[in-house]
Amino acid sequence: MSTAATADASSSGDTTEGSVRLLTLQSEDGEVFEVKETIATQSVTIKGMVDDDCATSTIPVCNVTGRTLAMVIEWWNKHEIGAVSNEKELKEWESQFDTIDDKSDRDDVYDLLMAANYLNIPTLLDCCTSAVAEAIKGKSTDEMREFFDIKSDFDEKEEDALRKENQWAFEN
Amino acid sequence: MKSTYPKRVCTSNLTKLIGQHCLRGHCIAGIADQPEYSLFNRNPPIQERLHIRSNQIYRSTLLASYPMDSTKQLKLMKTDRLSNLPEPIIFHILSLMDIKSAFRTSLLSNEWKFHWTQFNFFSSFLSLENLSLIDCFVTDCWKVFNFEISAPRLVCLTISNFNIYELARIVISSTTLKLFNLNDNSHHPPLLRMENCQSLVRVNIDLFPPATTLARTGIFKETYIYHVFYMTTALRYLNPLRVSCTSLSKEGFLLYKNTQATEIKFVALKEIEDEWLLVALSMVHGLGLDQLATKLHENSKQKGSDQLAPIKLQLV
Repeated sequence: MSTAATADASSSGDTTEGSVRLLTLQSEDGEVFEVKETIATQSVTIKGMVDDDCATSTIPVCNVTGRTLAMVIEWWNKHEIGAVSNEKELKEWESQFDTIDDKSDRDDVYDLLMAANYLNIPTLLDCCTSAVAEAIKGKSTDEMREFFDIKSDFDEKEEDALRKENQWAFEN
Repeated sequence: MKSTYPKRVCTSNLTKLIGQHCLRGHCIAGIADQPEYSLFNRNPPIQERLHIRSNQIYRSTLLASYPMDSTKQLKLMKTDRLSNLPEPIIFHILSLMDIKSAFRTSLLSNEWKFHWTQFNFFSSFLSLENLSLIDCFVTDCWKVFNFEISAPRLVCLTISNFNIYELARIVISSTTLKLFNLNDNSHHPPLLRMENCQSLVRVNIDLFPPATTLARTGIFKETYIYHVFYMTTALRYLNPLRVSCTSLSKEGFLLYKNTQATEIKFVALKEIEDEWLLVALSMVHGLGLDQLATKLHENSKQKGSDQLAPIKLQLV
């Protein structure tokens, strides 16, 4: 994944187009973003708030850091209808999320997953879950453990038994 | 993005699926470009044979779900971020991969042991319309759980001799389901729950209790009857419902309910034993009760017992 967008969202379109409402989002670490309502409502959670008229004051986005929220806003901007001219360009842009071989990329994806889950953004959720799924696919259990830094709490006997019992899954 | 495995879309071509003699750990499969697929297993152990094809095979398995609470404590100990993700996300991720890779995650740690089994069965089979589960088993369930079948476009569902833990319940949730057939020859008919099944046109339930169950008096028979009782109680709000039970009497027992005609038919009611009227009553609750009373009255007269009808009717 490439570098996250810096918090440029706050400058986007807050002076022009008086008809478009701006929503104020505040990340967990206190960073404040102003986002067009039309963009932010890609989040089902925020859309619900807007529909219920609960989005008049600052919306706190718990458990999401400013850095992650900036990435989320970048995602929204790209996915706004008409923002990217063709499908191919969008896919190309999205492809930066596909490989998570670096640890920093993985951390970003986890952050984005948590944010997408909390804010309920289906497109982002799909993209990040498939990135993780792709990374898991084809790996042996040991490779998965190493890649994702997962500690096994099986004792050896138990693990061997499980492996034996389910041989089919461990052949290539 | 490279992918050597079939993608999620591969199940979207599938319209008809038959799983037969499936055991725990077996795949019910959707195969790319094949709109119909039968999974057939006559001679267990068949695991190898089925799964060798499994890089073609897309999920899902007939495996018991597990009680959520049991992992709560383990959660405190985990350190890695992947395991820390909320469960729905983990299940979503697992639903995107082939069965082999998903299974391999079960050895990551105790916490992951059962993650791969967690999903709504068949919910990723986007175009599945016709599903038959014949002689399938669900094992490894040590607590009450729901076996949920929810495919978004399911129209016809047949469950035949589904062997499931006695207290488990089959939950069917489908807005498009029109026809549901259940055949059961076990000692305990499954408990059922139907959710959001507003399109249902017909439910056929045929019960074939094993002769040994009914031949014995006492606990076996009683248990069976109560299972049927609970099953029909749960279904009595469904309008088009037909329940039949053979080997109960010479002519069988048929209960037929059709609200359009507001008609209830009892076939061979004469020979029904008293307990079975409980079942009948549970089904006609609030509907055509007078008619039922008349029938019961006639019935009891023929049997030469006048007390039966009033006593049983009080139970409603």
